[in-house]
Amino acid sequence: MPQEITSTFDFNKDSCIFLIGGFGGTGVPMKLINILANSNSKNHTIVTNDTGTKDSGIFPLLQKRKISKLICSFVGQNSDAAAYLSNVDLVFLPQGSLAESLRTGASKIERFYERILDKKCCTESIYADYSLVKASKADIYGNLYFEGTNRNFNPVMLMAGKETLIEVEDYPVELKLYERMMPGIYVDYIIKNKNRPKSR
Amino acid sequence: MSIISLKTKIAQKAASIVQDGSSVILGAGIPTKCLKYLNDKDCWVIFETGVIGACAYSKQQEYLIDASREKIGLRNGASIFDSSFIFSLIRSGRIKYAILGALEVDQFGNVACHSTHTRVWGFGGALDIYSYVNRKIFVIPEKRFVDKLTIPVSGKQIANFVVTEKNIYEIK
Repeated sequence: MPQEITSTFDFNKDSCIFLIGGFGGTGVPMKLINILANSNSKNHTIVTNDTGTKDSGIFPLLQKRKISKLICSFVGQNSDAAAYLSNVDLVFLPQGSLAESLRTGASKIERFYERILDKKCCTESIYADYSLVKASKADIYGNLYFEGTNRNFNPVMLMAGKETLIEVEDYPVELKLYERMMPGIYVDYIIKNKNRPKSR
Repeated sequence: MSIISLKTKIAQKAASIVQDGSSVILGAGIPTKCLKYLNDKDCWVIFETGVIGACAYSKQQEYLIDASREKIGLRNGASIFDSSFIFSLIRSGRIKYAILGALEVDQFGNVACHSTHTRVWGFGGALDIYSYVNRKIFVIPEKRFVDKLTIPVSGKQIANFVVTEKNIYEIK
């Protein structure tokens, strides 16, 4: 059964690998990001798809200089983030390679070969210390429902982290069988956040 | 011509190349304006956000966005998946066309999308689509269709078609 947390978590160890869900500022666990941003630790490796928007995404982690390495597919959406990226080791992965690195990391496959354009590449898998994930609803067992395109990277990131923290809008609710998109066995901690970022 | 009508004109032209009923993945920017025209031809519009069968937004229960983070709706028979799944689909070869934007495309079909000399964007889903989708249509204003790229190349000889407000160019 997942453990519920309300407002804090001990992110006080330095140099950890974090997976953070979201695409373009949607499906982002913003409350968890802010808890990490306000912690005392630093020198982290963040794996996420993009730098989101000013209000929704990893921007607070860049501002508070928590990130030493950023593995992502895209930084162009958030022009404010550009100023903070000069001190960060920035690694671009194609979005599909990123997704597969997480999937293979979750399945304990160390590395894989793939063709990117006309080159054969050997891509390493990713397995993290922490996964920060966003879901729409969870039941008492921690089974998760993701609404629409807020799903994006969250399911695979849930699987590829040693310790998982899930931010949910509605908890606990009852989920029908076909609404249980990810099982509670992957869910370590749940935190409730009813707020949504401003949608365009 | 206003900026909005220029983008719409390019998008409508690009949609006219696509075979009725086929699957098409749309990138961010001008490509998202192809949505209505492709649905008029009963196409299956796919976005990297996880939607198979997108159409124009109307009051929806599910929160759905396209690659530009704008709201979209679902056509009959649509389905929604996560990122891991959708990129396996992109790589499967089953998506017939891609309609994509770019910073620059040159006459040889070389495409620049990830950086200029002063700013870096990253690739997003571009390299997966360049590598694995068969027919790639680039929708750009005419001024971005150049003789030779002036910024770093993202994919060499990738473009099959370039559609601008002036013309449809086929690159062989």
